[in-house]
Amino acid sequence: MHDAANRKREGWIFRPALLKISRRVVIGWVLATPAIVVFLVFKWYLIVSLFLNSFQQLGLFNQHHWVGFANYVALLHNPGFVHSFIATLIWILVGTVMTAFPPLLLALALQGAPGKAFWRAVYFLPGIFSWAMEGPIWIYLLTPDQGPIAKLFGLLGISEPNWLNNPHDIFFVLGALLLWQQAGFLALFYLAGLANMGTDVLEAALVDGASSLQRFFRIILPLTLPTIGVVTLIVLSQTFSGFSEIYVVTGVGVYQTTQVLTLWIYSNGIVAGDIGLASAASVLLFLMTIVATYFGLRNSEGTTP
Amino acid sequence: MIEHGHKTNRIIVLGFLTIGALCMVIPMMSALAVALTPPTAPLTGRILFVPTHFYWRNFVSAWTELGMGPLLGNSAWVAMGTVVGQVGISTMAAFSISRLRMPGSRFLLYFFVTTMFLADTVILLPIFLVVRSLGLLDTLIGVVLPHLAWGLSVLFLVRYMDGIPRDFDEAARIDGASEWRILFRVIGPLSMPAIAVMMIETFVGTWNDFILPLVVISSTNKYTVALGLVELTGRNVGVLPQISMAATVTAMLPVLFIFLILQRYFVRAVSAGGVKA
Repeated sequence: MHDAANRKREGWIFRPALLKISRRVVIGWVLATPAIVVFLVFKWYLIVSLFLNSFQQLGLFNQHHWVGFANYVALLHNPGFVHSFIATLIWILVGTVMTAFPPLLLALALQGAPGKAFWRAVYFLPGIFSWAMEGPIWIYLLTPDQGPIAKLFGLLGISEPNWLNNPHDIFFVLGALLLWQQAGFLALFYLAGLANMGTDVLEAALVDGASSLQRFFRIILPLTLPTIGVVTLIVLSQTFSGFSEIYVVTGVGVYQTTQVLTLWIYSNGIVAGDIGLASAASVLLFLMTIVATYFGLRNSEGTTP
Repeated sequence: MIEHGHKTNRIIVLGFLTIGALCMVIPMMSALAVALTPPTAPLTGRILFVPTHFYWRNFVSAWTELGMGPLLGNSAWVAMGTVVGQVGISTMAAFSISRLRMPGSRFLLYFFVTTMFLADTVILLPIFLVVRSLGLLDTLIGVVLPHLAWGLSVLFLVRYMDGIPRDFDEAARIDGASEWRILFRVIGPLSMPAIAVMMIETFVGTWNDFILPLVVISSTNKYTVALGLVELTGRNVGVLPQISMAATVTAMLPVLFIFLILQRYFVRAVSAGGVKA
């Protein structure tokens, strides 16, 4: 009788517990369903269909048919694509070198400065706005005969430079603007890296009489190398997949020079309507970003701010 | 830390920071200065970094001539829709992954998070095709929907919720609260700081976004403010710089406002979105 009562109680406890667990599972999947649907349609399906489209001849309105690797072969023989591929490589190199490293100096300066919060806010400011807003401002500033910055150079005795229309300078201008926009944000990563480094090593070096330069090159630089790697990869992914900055700033002037892959894909796929060919280019862009991201993830442990 | 005690070093550092800070702010100041210059006053041949006039009527002209009202309205609609939709579905999904732990929920997290590394520009063409086949080209909903899937949001919320002690839900469960009640009355309110960060990140990201409206929207009366600025003023030589800068400054104000009020959250939000291009 005692046993029976026990069993009864166990059963009484057991069954609703089971019911509860399954209810929990059901509610869990129900709550996750909207997100699952949205991610399936707007992420996973998109990347699969991008690959499928790249093997088809596909326009905006006509019927598609399978062409195997023909689009990829066509890309190699397309001078516009080859040009934009080279432009992308130049932009990645110039943009990354100009943008990834100066924020380290900024972080070093910020670290010792009084009023850190104020400086950080000021340096952060350009990063909060869109290129759609900042692009027109810079176009105005840099336009000869009108813009204050062009004028300033004129006053210094240098002939007013026409940066935005000069194919030789344009990537350097874009790199400088990217640095301007991203410096405060990227400095946060370096600040976190420097904080992780700790003060003991530097203090020891100070006691040993190391000069500032020695401390920078012998201690700070080697110890922040992982952070430099992470920041480099963030900037790499920005330059790889960046669109707005170049489109807004150079759309009018040196479009041909600065037609990087993302712009080429836009103008050949959406404007000109050759979806198949532009999809093949997107797949190549995707593969490149995956490689960069892979190395980025491998190095990024514990370095985010 | 490095400059302890060295007075000259300190001055050099402050000098460096001041010059850099001026470079950061001067373009914005310049835009404001141009926006406040009367259309009749000469702009050319003068160096204009700080406002010398205060001709506010340019903002009225921008409002009427460029239709800033509808532009801002469309952007507000898109941004609010995306914030509510995206943060809403992300919070529900994060709650089920972090608290309900049904079988397969960790896999589900990967399913969401791995998509973070797909830049909009990479999947631009399929976004366009899907929006078109849903019949949503040239609608604001067509701009909202693709942005509802944002893996970082789920990851950020799951991580935050994982940090909330389980005692809270156990206590509520013993008191007989349902899972829904636990989400809305316990975990939801406790996750508010993280939810707020994601709302700011999403609002500003959508407000600033340019490429999706460029691809989806074609009629001028449905332009968002970012698209409108580029298409209506950037390319259009016919618009006076004073007017176009007034429009630009107007478009920047909401973001600036959020930044000034919620700076602490804001910095966290933008750094959380670091991987986003």
